[in-house]
Amino acid sequence: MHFNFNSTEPIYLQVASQIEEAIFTKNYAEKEQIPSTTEISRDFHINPATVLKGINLLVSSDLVEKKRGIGMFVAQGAYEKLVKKRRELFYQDKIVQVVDEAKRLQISEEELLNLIKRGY
Amino acid sequence: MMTAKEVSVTNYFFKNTLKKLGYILIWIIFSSLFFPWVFSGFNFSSISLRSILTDTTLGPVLSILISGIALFPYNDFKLLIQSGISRKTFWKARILSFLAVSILGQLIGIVVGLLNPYTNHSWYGSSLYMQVYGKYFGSTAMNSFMGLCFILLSTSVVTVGAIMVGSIFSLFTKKARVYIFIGLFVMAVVFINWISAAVQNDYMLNIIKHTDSFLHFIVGYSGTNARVGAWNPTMPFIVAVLTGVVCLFGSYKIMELFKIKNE
Amino acid sequence: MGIEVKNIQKKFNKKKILSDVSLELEPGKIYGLLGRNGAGKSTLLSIIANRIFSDSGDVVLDGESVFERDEALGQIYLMSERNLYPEGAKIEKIFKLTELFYGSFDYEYANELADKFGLDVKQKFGKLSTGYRSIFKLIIALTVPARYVFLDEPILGLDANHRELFYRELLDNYVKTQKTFVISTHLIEEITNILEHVFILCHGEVVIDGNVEDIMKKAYLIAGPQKDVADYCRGLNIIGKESLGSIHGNYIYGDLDDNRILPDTVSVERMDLQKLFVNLTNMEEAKK
Repeated sequence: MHFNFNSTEPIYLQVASQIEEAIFTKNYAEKEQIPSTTEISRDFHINPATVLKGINLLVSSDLVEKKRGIGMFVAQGAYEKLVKKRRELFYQDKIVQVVDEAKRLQISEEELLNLIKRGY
Repeated sequence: MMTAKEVSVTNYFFKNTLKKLGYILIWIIFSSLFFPWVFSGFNFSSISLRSILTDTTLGPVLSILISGIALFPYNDFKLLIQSGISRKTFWKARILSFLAVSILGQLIGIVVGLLNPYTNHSWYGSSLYMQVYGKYFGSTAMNSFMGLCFILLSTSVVTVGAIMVGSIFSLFTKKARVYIFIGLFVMAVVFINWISAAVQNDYMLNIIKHTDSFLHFIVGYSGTNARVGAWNPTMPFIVAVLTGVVCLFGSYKIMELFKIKNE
Repeated sequence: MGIEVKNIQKKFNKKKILSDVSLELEPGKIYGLLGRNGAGKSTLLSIIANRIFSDSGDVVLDGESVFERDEALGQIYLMSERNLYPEGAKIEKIFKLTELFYGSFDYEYANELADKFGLDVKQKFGKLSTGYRSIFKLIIALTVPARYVFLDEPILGLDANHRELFYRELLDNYVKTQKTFVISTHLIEEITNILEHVFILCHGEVVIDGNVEDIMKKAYLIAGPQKDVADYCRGLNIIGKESLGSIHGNYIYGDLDDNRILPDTVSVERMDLQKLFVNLTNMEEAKK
């Protein structure tokens, strides 16, 4: 796993998003074990409570599941869930903005679709 | 009763003191052979084991050495405060261990003195107490027993006294200690000057007379028992016990003030 | 439960070092104790560990004063810059002494750590370099069976590799033992993420005492044209200012006003613990 932290965003969010990214890029396949809280804490010098908080975010959104005494695993269907979530985000973050900007530039719907086709 | 920690610390001091003592003794034995050898022109045959053994009385030597070791408590204090030991335990362990070592030393001293083939195996020759008070009681056994008690008591008092003096010095930084030594030295010089000037007038003579009778009182000399050897040992015992108690209490109060110095 | 530091005051030669310091240490947390040189960190730690005396106040462990109590002092270990171990003693001998005084000692773990750091346990303490003295004391600190471990400048003289290794072993130890650690250091950036709770000491007073995450939530950098920034920040707790050309930045510690409209020209960013520390302590300094 490769973590790259910045110093201003809350660390537990960064822990969650880094693991999420690793699942999305299939660095961690479904049902595969992910590093333990202790390992992440030790390797990246993060307080274990912080790591746990980040991982718990993933657990509560059903991306990761805890197996008592064994460890933590990527949940079945996690990848699908992520794709769905990111598609929604893609629409909200990117498409809405693109359409807004297109309107300001007086680009019609058809023209925009053509532009997108050109970009593909 | 003692807690496990108190036992550990006491054991540590006891062993450590024995070790230091052994180390010093080895050096003493070495030098008491080495220097006669050198000054006799590297001639072994001139060294008389007999004269060395008759000249040495082990008890007092050990008492002085142990007191000397007791003068420097600060390094042990540093180690113990770093190791989560309280000053109270430090004090208790120090007193107990040093008393044990000194009493052990005296017992060994007595045994060695009695076994020494070059002396007359007699208490009277080797013990100052026996020379002065050894005929006070009618029975020899009683006198010898009191002599033994006095030796053990006095070595304890000397040791506890050294612990107290050492703890006083440990309160000061190295620099302050140097100043204090200089101060004491200057005071001693001034005092001697003053005495030598004051002796010449009657006032001073009076003081000296009083001091004299005070000393007589302390050592148990009353004129009626003027024969040396039959002086009354009660006062020396009382004085020793009182001094011991004062030093015990004093050293405890001083060690309570121990702290890690900035030096 | 835990350690309570209650109203500690300390003067040295009439100079006030600590004025009424109170704080609480809960079991099983990693704390940071930050402060500039002379802020009183080491003095506070020395008082907690009974090395020196406070003028007033008390340190209480699980409800009882630690002062002169072996059981309480045996639960506390202070690793400091001061070297209190006998210079002539070998490392393995000091391990033994530590066992003797603390009641137990995990030799296997200590030797394993010594191996990892490359510390020769046959070496005499007095012969070690500054870095290796730190390493040796850290090994004792991690191994000793005390529940509260105070590390005053633990990485003094350690190179980058050894620092990495130390943070790793510290966290490993923390997860396994759930001891309480209090770390005092100038290298804030390196330990920020390790800390759960932080105290910032300034001129003998605690100016910040809180959960690191909560504190960082209240630390902002407002940047933009000077006038817009000044308007937006009016009445907020400005702890520092910075400017680069026409861009002006205000460091804020405290809540922002949600009712204010953020102009397009102004951005709200976060600052890290180090920046917060520098700005806060500078501000306190300026007050004097």
